[in-house]
Amino acid sequence: MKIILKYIGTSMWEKKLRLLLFVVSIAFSTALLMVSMGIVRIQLDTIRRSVTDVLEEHEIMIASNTGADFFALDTLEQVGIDRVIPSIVLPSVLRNQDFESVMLYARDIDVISQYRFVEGSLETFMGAHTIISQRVAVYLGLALGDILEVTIAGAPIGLTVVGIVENAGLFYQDQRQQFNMLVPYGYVSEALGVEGLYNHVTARQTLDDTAASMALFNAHHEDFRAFAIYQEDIVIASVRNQQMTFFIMLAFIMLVATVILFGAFKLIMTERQKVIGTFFSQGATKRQMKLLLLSEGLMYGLLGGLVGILLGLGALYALHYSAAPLRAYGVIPRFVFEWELGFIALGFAMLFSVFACYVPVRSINRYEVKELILEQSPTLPNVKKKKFVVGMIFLISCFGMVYFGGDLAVTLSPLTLVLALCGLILVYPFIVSRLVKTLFPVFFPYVRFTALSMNNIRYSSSLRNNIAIMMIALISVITVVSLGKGIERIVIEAYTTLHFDIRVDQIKINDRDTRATIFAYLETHPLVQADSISEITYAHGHINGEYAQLEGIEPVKFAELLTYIDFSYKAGSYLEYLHPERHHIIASKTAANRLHLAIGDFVDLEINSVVSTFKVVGIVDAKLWNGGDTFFIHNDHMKEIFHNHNSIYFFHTTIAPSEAVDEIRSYFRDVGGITQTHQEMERMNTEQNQQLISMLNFFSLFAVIMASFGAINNMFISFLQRKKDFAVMASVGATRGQIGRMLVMESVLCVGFALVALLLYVSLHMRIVSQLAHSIGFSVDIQFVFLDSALLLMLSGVIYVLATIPLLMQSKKISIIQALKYE
Amino acid sequence: MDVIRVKELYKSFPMGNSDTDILKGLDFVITEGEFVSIMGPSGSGKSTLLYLLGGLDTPTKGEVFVMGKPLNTMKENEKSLMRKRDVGFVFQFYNLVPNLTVEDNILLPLILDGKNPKKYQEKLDEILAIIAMQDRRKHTPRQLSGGQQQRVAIARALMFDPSILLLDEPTGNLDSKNSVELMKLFKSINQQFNKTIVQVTHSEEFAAYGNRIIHLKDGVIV
Repeated sequence: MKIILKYIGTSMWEKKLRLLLFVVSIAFSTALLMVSMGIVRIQLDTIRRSVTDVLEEHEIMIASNTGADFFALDTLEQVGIDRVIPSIVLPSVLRNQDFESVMLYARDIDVISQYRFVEGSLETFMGAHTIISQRVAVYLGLALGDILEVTIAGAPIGLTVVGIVENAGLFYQDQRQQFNMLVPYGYVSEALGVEGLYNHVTARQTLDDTAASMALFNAHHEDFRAFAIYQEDIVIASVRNQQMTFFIMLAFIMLVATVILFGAFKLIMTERQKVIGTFFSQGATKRQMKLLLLSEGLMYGLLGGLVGILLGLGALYALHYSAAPLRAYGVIPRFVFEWELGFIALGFAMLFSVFACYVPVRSINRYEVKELILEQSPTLPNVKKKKFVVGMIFLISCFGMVYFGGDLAVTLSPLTLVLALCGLILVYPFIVSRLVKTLFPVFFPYVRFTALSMNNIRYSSSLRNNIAIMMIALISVITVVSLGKGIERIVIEAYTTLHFDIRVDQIKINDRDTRATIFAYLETHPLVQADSISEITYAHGHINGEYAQLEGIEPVKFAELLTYIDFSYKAGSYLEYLHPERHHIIASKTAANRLHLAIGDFVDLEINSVVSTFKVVGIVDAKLWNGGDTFFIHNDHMKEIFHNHNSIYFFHTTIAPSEAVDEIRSYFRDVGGITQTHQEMERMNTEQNQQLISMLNFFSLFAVIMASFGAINNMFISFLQRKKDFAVMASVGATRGQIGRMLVMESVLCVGFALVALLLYVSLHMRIVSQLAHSIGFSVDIQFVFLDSALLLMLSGVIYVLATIPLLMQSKKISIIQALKYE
Repeated sequence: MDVIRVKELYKSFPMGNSDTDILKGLDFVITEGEFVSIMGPSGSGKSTLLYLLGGLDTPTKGEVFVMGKPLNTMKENEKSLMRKRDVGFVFQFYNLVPNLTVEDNILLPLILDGKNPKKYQEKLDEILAIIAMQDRRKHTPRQLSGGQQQRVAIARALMFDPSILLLDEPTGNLDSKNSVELMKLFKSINQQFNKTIVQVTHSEEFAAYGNRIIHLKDGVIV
């Protein structure tokens, strides 16, 4: 065993560059798998941490069933919940600073005792006093005794800082522009005239399951209802697209890596033919030999997997770091690596490596021992035609499915993509072979060396494998470029079909009166076109138990606001069905596919623990609107049935939006709203999408670089297999320059064949990728963008041709006598 | 005792659209302790015959019996077992595993047979002494001369104490001094340990080390 391990170890170490190729290919696939699996966990952890800290580890929010925003807790029983923290929460701004948004938490002393004071104490916490966090004190240069001016009940009030506490709990997320302040409950409730009443009550669950705790509480109370503050499936849904993008890139990288490992192992088999023969001559069985070589593959997997885990860890930490909301303040939450993920990645790496090595290793069956000892290539049956037929069947099936498969084509698109790529890989050797056979006699009299190079491709399976590697890499390049362009196009389209000047978001409205006040402000403001105001109410809920994003809309206004989504059907518009009197719902295509819904279905819609039955009256292509996975109901239902108050207002201004925005923005700051112009929003969204596009571009470039490594490998295999042929040519007078030119021409022709195959296949591929994008929630029709792809394709081509350089150097070392000695 | 028996042995290879006969109905017997040299011009089928005797290649027609067992009916695994235990090979280009040491190379057949090499240290020392390579046991083939590499190949062939040694032009890659030394070594192995040796050679001088010569020409014994 020791000797065998020593053999494997020394064999691996023998060619350092090849070892690097194996490790890099496996490591990147492994790292991508880790990132694909870990991204959801990272986002969940980050969001969970920031939410649960601010919520002081509470899971449940208590609201009044009467609809009153301020309510007493006299009849509240701690059933299913405990550690109740009642507060009055008010949004405001700091008037004597730089108009920072603040949230005032008015509480009694007994529920704030857990905060650790850096300066000051609770003793003087009464009247117009406040407690702030250490981070805010540092950033705003505040000390004990300083006064902060806020607005309470419409009146400006100066709050004196009497305590500075550590940034935990409520203060965990404090930022310079947006933070929380504690104020005495007695003082605020008196100022508002709501003594003994609260508008914000949180509690901790007493059962293991939040839903069970809430159900127990709700069963015991008529006046109150409990709902979950933090819902994991909302976060999962929000990162689903990002995760799917990683998985798609993983698929491409794995495909390239498989072909590379396949090629590299084939090279190993070619180089070690004699050693393998020696093993056989000493009595090794084919099974033993295969096990030995697969063990080597396993070791590459182990090594690549370990490096991949480190790379994946680095990438996950980078994502964790960039997701940390307070990284600008140097606050990075603790990074927790789940070892389970590492073990899965390592297992994947080893299996992947063994799988990629299996086919070349299996070729041992074809060899006669004598052929191995004498380093002769085995006489292989001509399987090109059989492969061509199988490949054509694959391609024709894919073509049928893609163009005539309807909705099934979208569902099966991942499978179609794999099948189509396999079909292409199986079909092209026969086509290349036939093409070369026809062209060779035509070219030979005029361009002899080009014709000979062309002929070499016909007879060298390694060179033909290069065409496959290039095709896959080039396909990933054009996929990414076209996908990026598609997203860009649809984002631009989304903004040109969204008709508003200013949008106000994230308004923390706690009562109907505030809503009425805001509406009144907008309706009467001279800078706002009153008849253009459109309100969308957002909520996260569940439909038939599955997560769902809900939008409450006013149909007529919404149709004017957004022409991006086509709500029409043969007899009119689905929007006409959204009526305050009827429980109707419109689903986006992506959402309907995910939840298997059809028009006419009845669904149970749950928001804030309130459940109501709705009928699906329409299914529309929402494209990328809110991620494309959304539902629309009437705004009145959102407010009256589900008591939801999270609104966004869109409206036109009477003057240029850039001139009107400052005044409107200063008003909405007082209620914690974010005001943006159409232009600002478009810019921000384009930047966000650009990040995704840049990430995709990085991977496609990486695929090209990996593929060029693979190409070098295959060129070497082909060279080693044809060493004798080159020696014969040299022995009859071919110069090194001529042989070199032939090798370069082989590369150029491989690139050429790959490009031609690509151009023939591209329209089918684009159609499949569009369907794949739809299946993962990107409602984008992807078209081949020739001009944008051309530059990258050219660059890829140049990289491949340059990959011939190491081979040219190797070809100079060729010894005619050595190569021909068996002759 | 017949160690090797060849009956009506044919071997042909495809050449273009037709088959070319390399061996045409050979019949002969090699008995225990014989040292047989196979001679003939290039293309006469010498090496092909040797590979057929060792079960490395399969005949087109006819039969080969090794230690009384027919190779034709043997499965691949049985042939592997035979190569491990009954036959030792020595090739012109040594065919050592380049990244294993001298002793690892010698122990290779045992390892492939699932034996614990530690139990064979005494045997290893003995064989290293026969080939006079005790001081080079930790060297890799790259650090040895051609003659030394060929001696390691011989040691490896002897490790399983096989009854037959098959030598494919063992001196073909060596200078005359090393070649003579090697042939003397084979002769002593033949005489001392009563091993049956079959060698393929071009050289009349080295063929004479055997006690019988089989001349091949155009696939037949002449």
